[in-house]
Amino acid sequence: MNRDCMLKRLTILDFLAVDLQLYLDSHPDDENAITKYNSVVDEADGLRAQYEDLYGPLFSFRSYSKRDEFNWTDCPWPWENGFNFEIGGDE
Amino acid sequence: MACRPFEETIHVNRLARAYVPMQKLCTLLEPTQTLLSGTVFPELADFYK
Amino acid sequence: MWIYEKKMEFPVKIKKQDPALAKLIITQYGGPDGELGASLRYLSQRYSAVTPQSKAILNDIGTEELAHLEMIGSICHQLCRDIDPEEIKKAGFDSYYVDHGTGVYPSSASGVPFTAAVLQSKGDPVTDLYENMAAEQKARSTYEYLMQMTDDPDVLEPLRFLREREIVHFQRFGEALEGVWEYMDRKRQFIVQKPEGMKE
Repeated sequence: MNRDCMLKRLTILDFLAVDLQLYLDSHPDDENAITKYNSVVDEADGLRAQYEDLYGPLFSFRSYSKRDEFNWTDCPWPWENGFNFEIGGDE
Repeated sequence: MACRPFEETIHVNRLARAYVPMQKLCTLLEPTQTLLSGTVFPELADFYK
Repeated sequence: MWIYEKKMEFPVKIKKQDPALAKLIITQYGGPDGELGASLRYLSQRYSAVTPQSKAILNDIGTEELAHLEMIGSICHQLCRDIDPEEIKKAGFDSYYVDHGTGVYPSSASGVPFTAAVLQSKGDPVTDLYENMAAEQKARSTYEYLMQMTDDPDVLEPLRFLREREIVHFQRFGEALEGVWEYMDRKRQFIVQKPEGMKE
């Protein structure tokens, strides 16, 4: 998967987790939703680890940093055009 | 029987209260549709069209 | 506490400059029904929430609104990137420009700086949830009006996403209200023992 593809998949998975978490906040006993939420988080975790390995740290104060270079400061940052993938034309 | 994604009976026991029906989980959108829809729940998408 | 994840909740990739549009969209950054107000409102209200569900919902939606604030800031920033100075006056962007250049400043579309007067944290769990439901509707309407102001798909996609989020948030606050009704009713239940010898 290239970077844009990986970032897109990760963005989708993290968004699923957000929407499911908000649902679970008011339906904490919904086992189906819990199962789905956990499976999304699991897949996102794995993909996030791969992404960070290839393209650098994602979390402030949490992600590992390479010994010889501190990539956190790398540009572009998310609010810049160059950071983002094209959303249009979904399957 | 088809799954209706909201509670169909709301128990009212006093006036001067607003009630929003509780959502019930039925189906989820395909992951690739969720970002463009803005939600993972089909019953909440395409609202107020 | 808050941790920053170095990616957007929804991608913002604007190709065409439009400072006139930026002047309008900034209202969802620092205006009356914008994301800054929303996040401050919910994150402030969570301290006086009473049910575990409403605490979680206020916390989590407040957090998500910060991600939306970031999206709006990015949209405004990218719309004004490398603009031609001649465009500034033509676009009606000059009054914002003289105070803020092409920087992002929390204000409304009409130039009113952000104020906490746009939000309320009443310390009353019922009042606060009603405040939030109204806020989500106002935000939804604002996104709909903003969407009428452009044809650019790069801008419409994030706006459409944000509009839909307001509808979902409204539903969650309504559900939190349900839990608060149960809490209020439970608190007012008086159990009286039936005296012996009393007939049915």
